[in-house]
Amino acid sequence: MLFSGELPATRELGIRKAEVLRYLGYKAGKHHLSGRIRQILEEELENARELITPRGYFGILEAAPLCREKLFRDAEKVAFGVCTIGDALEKRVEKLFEQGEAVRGLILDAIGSAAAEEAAEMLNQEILHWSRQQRLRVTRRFSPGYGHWPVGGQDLIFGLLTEAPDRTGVALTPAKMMIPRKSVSFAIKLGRGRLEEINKGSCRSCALFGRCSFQIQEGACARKLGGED
Amino acid sequence: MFQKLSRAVETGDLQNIKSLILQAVKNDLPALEILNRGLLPGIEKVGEKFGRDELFIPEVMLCARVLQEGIDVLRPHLQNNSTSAFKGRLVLGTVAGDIHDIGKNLVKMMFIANGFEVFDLGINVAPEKFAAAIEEYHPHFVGLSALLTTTMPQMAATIKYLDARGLRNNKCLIMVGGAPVTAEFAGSIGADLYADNAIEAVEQAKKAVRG
Repeated sequence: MLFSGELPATRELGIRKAEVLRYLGYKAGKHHLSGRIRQILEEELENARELITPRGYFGILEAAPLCREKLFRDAEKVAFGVCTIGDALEKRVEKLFEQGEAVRGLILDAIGSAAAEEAAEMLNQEILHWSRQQRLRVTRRFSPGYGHWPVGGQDLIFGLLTEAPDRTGVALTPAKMMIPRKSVSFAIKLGRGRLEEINKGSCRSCALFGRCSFQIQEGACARKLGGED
Repeated sequence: MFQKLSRAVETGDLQNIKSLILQAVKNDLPALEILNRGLLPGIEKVGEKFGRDELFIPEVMLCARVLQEGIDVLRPHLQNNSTSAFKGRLVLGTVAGDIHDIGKNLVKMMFIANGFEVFDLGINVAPEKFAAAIEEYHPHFVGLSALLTTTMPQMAATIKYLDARGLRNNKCLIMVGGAPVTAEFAGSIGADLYADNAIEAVEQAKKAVRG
C-alpha cells in the first residue's frame, strides 16, 4: 500500500438538497415542490444528522499487479475506497415504512443516498489531494455494478482493501452488495499519462441513459435543482 | 360530499379526511359509495396528474397516505357490506440476492391504498418462498422487484421456477418492475405485466382485474 487514509466519523457531511431532490425524481424546472414535501424534507434533513455516522477508508496501490484487469491497463496507480453512513438511517427508514410514514421514509432514504455519495466525494477529495502532491492525473471515480464495471469488481476492492470492513463496518453479501446499504465502493485510476475514463460522462455511458429517473439533466446539473443549497 | 372526499385525497389533506368520512357515514352514505365515488376518484385524479408530470412520487405518496387513512376509517363500515372491498390480492417481494426495498414498499403502499390486499415477502426472496406464498394466499398478482442489473436474472429464474411448478395460470399474473427493468426485458422473461413505477403498477393491476 502506497498510501491510505480514513474519513473521520466526526466529519459532518454537507448534504445537498438538490441531490436529495434528484434521488426523489424531481427534475429541475419541471416539478414544483409542494409546501408539505418541503416541510418534511427540512424536518428529515434535521433528523438525519443524528442518524448518519460517516466512515470511510481508502488505499492507493501500484497498478502493475492489476495489469490483467483491462480496466486498469493504463494506470500507474489505483486508489480504492469504501465508505458508508452506517445503518441507523436505513433502520429508521424501515421503521417509518412499517408505521405507514412512506413519504418520510422515502425522503429520508433519499437523504441517505445523497449522504453516502457525499461521503464518497470526501474520500475522493482526500485521494485527489494526495494525487496533486504526487503530480498525478486522475480519473473520475467508478464503482462496481455501474457503467462498465461489473459488480464482481467488489471482490477486487474488498480483496485488496482488507482493512476496509474493520475500518468502515461495511460487509459484502454473497450477491456482492454492501451492508449497510447506504455505502459506496469505488476505484480511481492515477498516472502521469493519458487515462481513459471508465464512465465517460456521469450518465451518458450508462445502459439506462435516456430512461433513468435519477438522470442528471443535460444543461441542468442536479446540483442546481431546487436552487436552495 | 363525494367531491369533498375526492378533493381531500387529491390534495393530500390528511388533517380533514377522517372527519369528512365520519360525516359521510353519519349522513348515511353507504361505505362502498364513499370509497368508490369519493376516495377512489381522488386517487385516480392523482394518477392522472402524475401521468402529466404535474405531481411527482413524494406528492403521490402523500395522497396515497390520505387514501389509506380514509380506507382505515371506513374499513369497519365496509365489513358490514356483503361485497368485498378488495380489488385483488398481491404477493410482493424483492428477488433473491437483492436487498433493496424502497421501490417495493412504494408499490405495496399504492396497492393497499387502492384497495388491494398485499402480502409482502420482504427482500432477498427465493423462488421457493414466492411459490409457497402463491400456494398459501392464492394471489391475483405476484410482484417481483429488482434494483440492479445483476439481480434481474433472478426475476427470470423465479418465473421459470413458478412455471415449472404450474403455479402460474390465468388467475395469477406476474408483474415485474424496478429501476433497470424494461418492458422488453419483462417480455423476454415471460412476465405478464410490467410497470415503470408504483402508480403505473396499480393501473396495470386495475386494468387486468377489469379484464
